[in-house]
Amino acid sequence: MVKFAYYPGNVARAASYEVEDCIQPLCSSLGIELVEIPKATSDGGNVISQASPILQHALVARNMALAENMGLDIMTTCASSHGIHCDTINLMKTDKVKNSKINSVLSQVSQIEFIGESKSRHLLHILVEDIGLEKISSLVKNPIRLKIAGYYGPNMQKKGACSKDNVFNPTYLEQLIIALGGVPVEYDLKCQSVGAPALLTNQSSVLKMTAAVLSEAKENGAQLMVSSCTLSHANLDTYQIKARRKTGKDTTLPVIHLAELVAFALGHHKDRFALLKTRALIIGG
Amino acid sequence: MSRPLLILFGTQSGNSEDLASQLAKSATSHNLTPTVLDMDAATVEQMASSERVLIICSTWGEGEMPDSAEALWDSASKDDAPRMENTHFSVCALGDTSYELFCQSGKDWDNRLEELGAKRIFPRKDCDVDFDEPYTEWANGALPAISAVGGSVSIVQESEKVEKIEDKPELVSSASSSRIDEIMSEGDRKLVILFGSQSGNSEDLAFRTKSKASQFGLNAEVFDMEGYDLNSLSDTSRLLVICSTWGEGDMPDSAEALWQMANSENRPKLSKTHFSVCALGDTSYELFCQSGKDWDRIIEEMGGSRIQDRVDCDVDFDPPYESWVTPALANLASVDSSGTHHQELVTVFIESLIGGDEKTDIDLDSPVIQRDPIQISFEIFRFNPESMENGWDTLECRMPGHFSISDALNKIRNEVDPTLSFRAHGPLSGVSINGAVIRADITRLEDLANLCGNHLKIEPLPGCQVIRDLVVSTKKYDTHRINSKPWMIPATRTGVKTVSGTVIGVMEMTESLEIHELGDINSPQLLQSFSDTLPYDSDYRGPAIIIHAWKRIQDSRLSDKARQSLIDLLQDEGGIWNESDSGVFNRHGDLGVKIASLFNECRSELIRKKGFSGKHGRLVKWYGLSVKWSGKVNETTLYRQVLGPLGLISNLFSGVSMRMMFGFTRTGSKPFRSLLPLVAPPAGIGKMAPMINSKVESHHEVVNLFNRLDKRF
Repeated sequence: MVKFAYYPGNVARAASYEVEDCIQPLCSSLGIELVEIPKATSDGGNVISQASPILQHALVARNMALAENMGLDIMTTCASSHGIHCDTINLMKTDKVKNSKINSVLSQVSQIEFIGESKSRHLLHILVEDIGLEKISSLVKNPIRLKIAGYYGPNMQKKGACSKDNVFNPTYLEQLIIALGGVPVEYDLKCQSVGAPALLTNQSSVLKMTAAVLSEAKENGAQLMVSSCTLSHANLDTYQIKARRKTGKDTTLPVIHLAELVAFALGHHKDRFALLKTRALIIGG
Repeated sequence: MSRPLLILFGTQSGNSEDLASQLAKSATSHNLTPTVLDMDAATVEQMASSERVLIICSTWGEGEMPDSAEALWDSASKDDAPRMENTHFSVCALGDTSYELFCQSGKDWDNRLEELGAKRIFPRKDCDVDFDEPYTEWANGALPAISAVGGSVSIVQESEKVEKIEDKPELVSSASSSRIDEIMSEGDRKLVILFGSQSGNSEDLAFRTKSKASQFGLNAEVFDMEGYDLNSLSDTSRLLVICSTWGEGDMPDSAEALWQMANSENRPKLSKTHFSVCALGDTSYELFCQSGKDWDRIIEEMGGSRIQDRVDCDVDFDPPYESWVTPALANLASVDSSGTHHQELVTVFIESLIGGDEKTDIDLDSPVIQRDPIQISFEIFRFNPESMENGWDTLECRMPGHFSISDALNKIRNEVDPTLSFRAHGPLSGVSINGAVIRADITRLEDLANLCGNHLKIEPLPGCQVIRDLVVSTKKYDTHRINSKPWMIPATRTGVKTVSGTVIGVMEMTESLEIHELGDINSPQLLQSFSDTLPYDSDYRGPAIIIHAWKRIQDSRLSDKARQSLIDLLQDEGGIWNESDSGVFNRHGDLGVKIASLFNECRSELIRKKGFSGKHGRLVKWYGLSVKWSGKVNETTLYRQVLGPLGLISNLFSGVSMRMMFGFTRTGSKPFRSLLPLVAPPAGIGKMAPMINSKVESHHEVVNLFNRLDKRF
């Protein structure tokens, strides 16, 4: 049994509750114990940093310090959150002045400091590196049997955040899809941003970016897209009709989160998996 | 003194003959007496007895000699063909890249003459059907080089110690070498290299030239035109100018002040100065290389002696630059400390110092760290603008690990496909390899293989218009940059007087270092490609322009009016808020991390100056407030506050709201997650976020954190 402090990200317990519905049974099947961090806050979503970088770093450092006090690494399902965590961990390691300032404030408001022992881990990296693809494959009850495009997004694909996967040409999602009985679809834009932080402010370019990712995946034969980022998932799913209207591209493609895909393959939420297959094979988007 | 030159042409359609006639006219201005002969009328004995031979030869059919050249070629190919040790030559080969054996006849002549002992004084030029430009490059390099051949004769006349030296070529070499040693050990070997750069290419070439200059025994110093004192040129005997052209034939910003000075009445006389100009430009603009042409003219008007013809370089500037730099340096190296130019030493310099092989890209004084060869599979993007066809070439190669990507592409071009186009050096040498944007000239093959694996997919930089193969247009960047008015508009400041009486401004060392660090970006074009947003937003100026404006704003020398103008530029449409996801910069190594951090600093400062105004300001404000209020983001609040009533209605009709409300129909999750929608619909329906968040435990700590670090929330 491996144990992690669970950080759901900014939307898994709000607009993307389907991720939250899947993560607990998934971890239970794979022998992952998740421990709540009741005091944890939002990580700032790379939005607060636009007004106050130090404030966002302090919010993240506080979450990390809370996990560190529990003696655990953090596990998150959101690539954006994981990327943001890694940025702060890196800053705390490399910038002594800011480290001192942040820890001074944290010790005053929460009586904790972030030493840097706890790490941030993304669900995908834990599945491939800690649990192992063979074990996952052996536990599959409902093979996916669809052509699936993996979407990584940009925030997790950087040095220090992508674990042992390749920064620019990652393959963990594809390996996992094969282990779950699916067929991975290669396409160039799997790490391109869909502009999630600016969804409400730069909608024109964000819709074009979203449409480009969806349409390219579809042109390459995808019947389904699986996202490793909860935040980008919202763009790719909820805004796909608007993206189609904006660009005229074919964007209708079912998009689910990585946690859902694994949970379905492991035999959870059979009714939802049936509905998903109907959407992928008959309805389309 | 008569300096005969034999010009041979082998032609099928008449092009080589035309070029030979042109060459003969140009040759006279180099004190040469040309004889133009169709190969049909020439003999190998004539070639062997000629000290100077230039060949222009086309290729026919599948790599065959033109009919008129067949007989001469047969004679030259024989085992008993006369040796040509006294012959100096260069070849201009005409051909057509659509044939497999491109320029084969010219290549054959080039190789055969070398086999017969002739000395190549200038590298062969292979010309495609559009041969004018490459021919001009070749002629500009070959004529001065061949006109320098035969300097030994004058040495004989001047030196009584060496008799009948014409019959003893080894003594010629020895005498010339000792003359070179003598000239190189004389006092003044200073060379001034002035560059005027907008995008960094001229600067890059200036430093490359400096590196090469040391091989010619020259002490080169590189100066930016910005801030350079023109008067200091009056004592300079050797000068190279490398200058780009900006917009519609304008000087680069950094060269403007010097240009004004050069046109003023107080300009110095440059009667002691020998000079040459390398002009950078873009043929897609009407006034191609105008700045370089202007400098070429004005330096001559000021009394300078043009020692080597100007070269005009298009966006793919490496080949013309390479053809210019060696003869230019050899000519300047042949200027002694009294300012006298020794024409006869030019070829000797070229031959003795670089072995006559001008194709090498490796500086002789640069150590190379050897790495074992590695097996690489290249997948290279190809685009032919004439036919508008694109595709991929795949090559399996074994190359040394220490090769740069440019080295590897050069090898492929030289040995496999001479039509492959790419920029080999400088800030514009950027390409995308397996998604990573890198500079081809400074990225090692082995490092990339470690990072990306042994299959390298090489593409043009993303988000740029492709001109040919891996060469992209910088026009979009240039246009945005011009419109951003990036030049320094200084405030009136207090200065100090130097010992010479000149008044200069001063700056604190720490500020100076910070400003320098902000601008320490070796390729603005590469930085533009860091953005995932730029290809989708034509208004967006891009990160390189944003960072440049931010650097200017930080500079205390800037006038208040100019600073305000730049702040508005960053805040307005096309500015920093157009970047949808600055977090993506972090993918691109240390520079990317630095740029992402600078974006946040800049946005933070804009919010401090302008308040939480506009959509972007409202998003940041309400995001922060909702986190402060509960410890969590409240998406419902964000939608309402950022989009406003009209935005929400727009979402209703565009399908967004419907996809949110009926999210359960797609995900299969529960349509209602709590009883909240009964009280405050539509919160909690489908994929809609709750309208009211519960607070995290110990919420007062969060409020305290906000209050201590940023009270604006």
